[in-house]
Amino acid sequence: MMGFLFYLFQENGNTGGIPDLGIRLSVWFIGMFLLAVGGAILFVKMQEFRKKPGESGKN
Amino acid sequence: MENRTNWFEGRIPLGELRAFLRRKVVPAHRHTFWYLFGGLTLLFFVVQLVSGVLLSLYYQPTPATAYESVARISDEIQFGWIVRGIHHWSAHLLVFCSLVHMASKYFFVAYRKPREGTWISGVILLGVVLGFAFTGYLLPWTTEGYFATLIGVEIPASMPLVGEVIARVLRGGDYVDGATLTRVFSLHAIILPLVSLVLIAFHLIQNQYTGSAVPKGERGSGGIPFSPDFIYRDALAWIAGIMFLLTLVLFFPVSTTQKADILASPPEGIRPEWYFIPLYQTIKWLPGSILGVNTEILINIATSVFILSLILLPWIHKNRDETITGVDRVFRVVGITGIFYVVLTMVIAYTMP
Repeated sequence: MMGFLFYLFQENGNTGGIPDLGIRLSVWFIGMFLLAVGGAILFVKMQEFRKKPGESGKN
Repeated sequence: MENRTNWFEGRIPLGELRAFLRRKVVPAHRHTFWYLFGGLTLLFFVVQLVSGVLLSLYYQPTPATAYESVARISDEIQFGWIVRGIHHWSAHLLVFCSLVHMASKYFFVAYRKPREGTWISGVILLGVVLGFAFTGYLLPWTTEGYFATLIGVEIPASMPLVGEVIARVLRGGDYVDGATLTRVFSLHAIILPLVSLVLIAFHLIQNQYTGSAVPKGERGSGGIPFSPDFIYRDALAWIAGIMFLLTLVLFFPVSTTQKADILASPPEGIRPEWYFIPLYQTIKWLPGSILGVNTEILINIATSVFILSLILLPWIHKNRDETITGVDRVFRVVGITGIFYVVLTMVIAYTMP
């Protein structure tokens, strides 16, 4: 993870700068979608786990 | 895979750790939601560490280059603006979550025996978080950061006997200049992270040992197994936290304002960040002296008494009954009044500049 961040943050011809609102909006939609999908999967797993009696930490 | 697990088992007690996590239970009651703020505080602290390390690759702590290096991070370095935005906004969220976490523990009366150590380390950690925020404000060497530090250092300077020494240590001399920037950077990037890591380790170990406190007066309905039930809940809260952070970073990008001019006079309407507003607004409302005593001295005394009271709270309010008593209600009213005052000062500061 850290290595990936370092890769992203490497000096690369000074091509940075705050992008336009349109680009930021697209990134926001993609980010929210991925996080929502992740959250939904996690929520479903949590509900499934609760339905299984005897497996909730008391074994 | 089994061989690998066996290799670890012989060296690190992973089995014991797993068994401990399976045994660990988080109390279940109608206020369980507030436990999530501890995890969120930890999340934003980790985000601060990672983004801070990345920013330190390009930041240069000298008055001649600090502003330019931060501007370069925002305007030129690839993804620099997003890392700076994450560091900036997660700092705000870290302070907010720390305050909510602390307030919830106050209203739970979670500081009662045997959790005194967890409470005291939490109070000190809140101070460290505010220290991070204060020191981080000067680093970009902007006009607001410079004058906020100038005013911030002047407050302890008015304390009798030790005030001037504290101010000189913070400034590294008589003025806020390059020496101050070096000290503040050292505090922000080395000293405070080390202190906070030790304190967080202690805070978490204490919490594992004593368990989470049930709010006073609550009977609770059993417990939620920490692994994996509560970890799922924590993870969902983290996802919500990251969503909120991403929204702030993308829609309110941090741009570089004006470079500090140490010879200029403070700009009109300058005020500190929201978390220092209650202190700032109180000083603003009070007259220059009360009963012949300088108000700044009184503010210093009041702040010191407040911090000391927070640290000594487990002994000030040591009612052992599990039912709510009259004393508990008094402490609740004090807490609610405090929150009301904090909100009031912020509303007034932002609506009536």
